[in-house]
Amino acid sequence: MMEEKKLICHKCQKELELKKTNFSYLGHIFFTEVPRCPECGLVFISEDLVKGRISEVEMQMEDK
Amino acid sequence: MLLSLVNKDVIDDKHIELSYKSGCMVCGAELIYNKTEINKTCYYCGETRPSNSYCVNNHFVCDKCHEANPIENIKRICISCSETDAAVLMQTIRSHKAFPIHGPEHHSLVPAVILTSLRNSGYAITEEQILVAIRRGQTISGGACAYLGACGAAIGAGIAFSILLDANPYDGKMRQIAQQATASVLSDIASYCAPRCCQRDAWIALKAVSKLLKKDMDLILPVGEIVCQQYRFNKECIHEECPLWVTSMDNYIILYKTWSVCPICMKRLPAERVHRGEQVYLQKTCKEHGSFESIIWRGYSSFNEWVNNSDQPALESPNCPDGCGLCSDHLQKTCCVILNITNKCNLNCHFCFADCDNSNDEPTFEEIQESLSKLIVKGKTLVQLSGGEPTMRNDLPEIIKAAKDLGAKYVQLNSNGIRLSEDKEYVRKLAEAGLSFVFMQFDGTDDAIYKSLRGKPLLKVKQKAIENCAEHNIGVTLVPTLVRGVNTHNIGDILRFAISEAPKVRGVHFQPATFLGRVPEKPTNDERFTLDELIFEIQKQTNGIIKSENLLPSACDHPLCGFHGDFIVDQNKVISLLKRDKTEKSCCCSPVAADKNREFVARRWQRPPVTNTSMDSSSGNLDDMEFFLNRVKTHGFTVTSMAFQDAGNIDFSRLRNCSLHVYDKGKFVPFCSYYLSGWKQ
Repeated sequence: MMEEKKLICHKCQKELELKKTNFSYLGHIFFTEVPRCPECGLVFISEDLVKGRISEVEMQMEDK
Repeated sequence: MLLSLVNKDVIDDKHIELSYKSGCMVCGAELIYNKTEINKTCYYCGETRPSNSYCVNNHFVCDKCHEANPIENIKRICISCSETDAAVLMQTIRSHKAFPIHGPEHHSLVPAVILTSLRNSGYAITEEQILVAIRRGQTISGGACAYLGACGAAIGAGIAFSILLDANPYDGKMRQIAQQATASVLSDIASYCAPRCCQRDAWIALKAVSKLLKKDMDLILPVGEIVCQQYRFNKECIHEECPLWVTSMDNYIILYKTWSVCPICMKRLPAERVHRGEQVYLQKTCKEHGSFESIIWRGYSSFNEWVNNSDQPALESPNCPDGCGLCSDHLQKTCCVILNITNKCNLNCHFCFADCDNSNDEPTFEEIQESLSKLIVKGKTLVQLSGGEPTMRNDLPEIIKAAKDLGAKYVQLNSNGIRLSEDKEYVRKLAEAGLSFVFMQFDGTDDAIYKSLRGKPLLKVKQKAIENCAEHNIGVTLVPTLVRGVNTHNIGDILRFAISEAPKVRGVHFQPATFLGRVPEKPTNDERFTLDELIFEIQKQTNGIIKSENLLPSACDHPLCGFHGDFIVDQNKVISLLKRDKTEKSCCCSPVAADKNREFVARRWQRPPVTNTSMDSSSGNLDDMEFFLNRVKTHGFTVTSMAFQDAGNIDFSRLRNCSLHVYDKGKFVPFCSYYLSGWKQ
């Protein structure tokens, strides 16, 4: 599982930390926690998140 | 559409929006954002500036005009524009959203547009003279027409003359001409016995000034005609008495050629959608029975933007409605199927499209099962069990179960709610059988409405039915039939009631009364309640809790057939999930539109399975993705409408796009075709 692995920022060589991050979609903003580099701010969006919660948000928000 | 991700530039709470959309200030259309700047000319002030953005209709509004207040706008536009027609210039300035339809700004506007139009026609008028005119206009107080006994537009005309003549109080001749001009203009304005209308008075002033300038000074001031666009928003409008009111029956624009029927003999007829003033009518002529016209749009919003070029060219020789049963000319697939399972009813309503006669003639369970087996596409179909009143049947639970067993994805019950309120055990059986949701007739929050439409008080019955359905987690969508003068004033209260009952109530589905089946009498245009009027009333009667911009044209049927809005109810607040993009094409002709629509309505109207986590009292944050996803499932709320057609307003372009089909004798027939009935002469 992704959660069990350490994620290291390739550029800064720092371990990513879970941080609240904002997403925008069709004029709405949502936040959730995702791994982020404490140095450069790069976030890692996992496939699980994209195929799970994010695609669910997309489905709920999309017009018919 | 992909979700925009805010990634490497994010700093905790800071949000960076990757693409920003906002409607055009002039027409509301989508804005185009270019990477590079190009020179564009401002719609209001006419100045050319480099810009990255303009709308798809090529409107550009410069930043200063975008921000300016009304007086600043008069100054900016008059100084830089090149318009020579004073009426056109006046309306351009007045079209700015910050400009009020009435108000003392008009006192500056009148002399400013007179001088500006003259300058633009080649006369020697300086910028300073225009600014002086505006300043002098500002000295005339609001309501001068009544409180000072002289309309500010007339005094504004006098200001223009004064500046042109360089008049001063010592100069008897110039002072006389300026005052005579004011008196003459004032006389024209005062010839109307009417409440103030700054548009009318300002236009009358311009017209009068144009004549006086020609007579006294041999100057040409072009002043064109104005067709009033604002009368809907002007409570004191004098309508036919106003010179800006278009009344001529011959004065119309053909928007679209289509087909309809004669409402008397039901013969197929060519028909036209025509714009007359702000209103849109469907008109047609039967050689035998004469001409007919039905209002289809009252002009509360732009008809063309709503329809958005959704029509296919009309067929040369259509087969509608006689050949209905989904022929190759039909443009839409089936979204929902109606199956009538009885003709019996426990009400005797004044309005009933089904015109049910309470006969005992109803299909057997086996016949219904046979129909279900033919109409259901496994894992896909949304079947609406209808009638008559379907709960008159004791075997309704078995019918629902049969539909589910045959693979129907959703089973909807169309009901007046009487039995649902009286028979809890029956409701339990319906739920156990797999009923997905209920469409319940709900005409208002006042028993006088029910007495008028249904013949008896029913409000408590409806409330009890909602409670009984909630006990078994059956979502209820309220369906008001809107009849002008009976419950059209109650739209806001219906919505407030429904919102307060969320999540038991899943939404409101408005049906403006259609003159199909059993109706009290042949309709007049005054009785018709158009979609744009409904949208306007929703926003007005909810005090903007539900805004018109959050209600979108039907994507599954023709835009004139309905609208939908998608919301979340959170602590009695209603948050919209949809925003209207007026330029986005309706996907009427998309083969997947019916499928998408079915899933859209079903995921809102069906309550999610009960879980241990109660989300009923919200204390969470809707920005939290997790909370949002839970909340939207439990407390999603729709505001929808369907405007059915009758023999007066049936339009084959709409019919060809219908996705609501009645299943009968092996055929899927568009709803409005199935129930179409002629009027008595």
